[in-house]
Amino acid sequence: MKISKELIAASSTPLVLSILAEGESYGYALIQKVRELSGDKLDWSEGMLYPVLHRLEEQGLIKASWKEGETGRKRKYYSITAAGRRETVSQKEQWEAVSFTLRRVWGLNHG
Amino acid sequence: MDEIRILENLWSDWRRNMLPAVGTRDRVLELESHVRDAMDHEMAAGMDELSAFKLCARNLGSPQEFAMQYPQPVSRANRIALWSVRAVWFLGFLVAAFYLAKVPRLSTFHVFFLMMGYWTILCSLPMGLWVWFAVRETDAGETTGQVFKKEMIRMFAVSTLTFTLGTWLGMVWSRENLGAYWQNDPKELVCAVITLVSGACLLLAWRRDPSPRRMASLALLAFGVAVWCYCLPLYWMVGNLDHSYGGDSRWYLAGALLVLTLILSGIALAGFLPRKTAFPLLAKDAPSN
Repeated sequence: MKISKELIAASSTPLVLSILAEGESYGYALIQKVRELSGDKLDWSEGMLYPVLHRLEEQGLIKASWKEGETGRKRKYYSITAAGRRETVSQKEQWEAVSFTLRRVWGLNHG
Repeated sequence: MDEIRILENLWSDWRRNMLPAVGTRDRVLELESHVRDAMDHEMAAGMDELSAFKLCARNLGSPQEFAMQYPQPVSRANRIALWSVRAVWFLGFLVAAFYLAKVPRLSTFHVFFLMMGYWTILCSLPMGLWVWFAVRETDAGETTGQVFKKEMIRMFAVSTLTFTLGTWLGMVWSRENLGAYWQNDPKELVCAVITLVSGACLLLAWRRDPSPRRMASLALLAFGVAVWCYCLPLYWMVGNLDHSYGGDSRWYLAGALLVLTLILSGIALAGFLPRKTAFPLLAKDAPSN
């Protein structure tokens, strides 16, 4: 199954915010995490993720800081802000409404 | 040793190419740390460092792909070009105002508006050429291209407005001074042709949202039509830049040329529409009988 680019792009913000709500992370780890959570169905590209991270940072939903990782190399870690947590709640409600509607439609269609 | 130097050169080239695409050194460093993480993964699986770099840098994406995701700041050269044309454009308005105030023979509002219109179309030449030849392809779809595109739309709006006002006020002037609103003299026809072409360009820009390069082509077309109309029928054929109501063969020939110009401009502008809309009979799926 191939998930469309549009759907991947639309779901990127709630996914990034929800993962960061569990703890700080960096770009490479975020991509691995999404791949693992989706069972390889969501294949994020770096060209998609980093602009999203930078846009969320500009919007004040996440914040970034350079830290030394376990390998001794510096990485840019992202963590969620209070505004980001509020946005996560809002995004969750919106996606649940979409999901609820789709399930009802398909449930009715399939009898 | 050679491999280390090759790798350093590759990293250096990669950073240099990535910087204008993502905008800041901080972002380049972040992407570099990403590539290094991915390289660690590949090298742990047995790949050598050089191959790992090539693979991971390629997987990351090209600078062009990143450039499409980030709004590109307008470069200094583009800003200077934009403001230079704006300054020259504004200067033309001052000259028109000077003529209105100080030169008795030209102190009518229709001359004032038409001068502003002609000057605006003249300014569209450097603007169009700059977008065609100096704005980079990656800029063309992004902020820089959009900035120039907005400026060209502004120019078409101003030229359409000033030519319309100039032509209508000229008709009033003609009625008061020459006894008729419209006499089909080449100068009147030139104004009508340029007003229509400028208006059509504005309409296309507004309704079809062309790319900055196509917009530049429209600007160059409008400039070409204005220069052609003014120089050939008015100056070379009729022999002066003033109104001419002679009714001789040159006068008729100039009129015919202007009408032909309008028709050819219409066909050229139709080329900016989708093929099916502009030339339905030439469309591939047109009915054959």
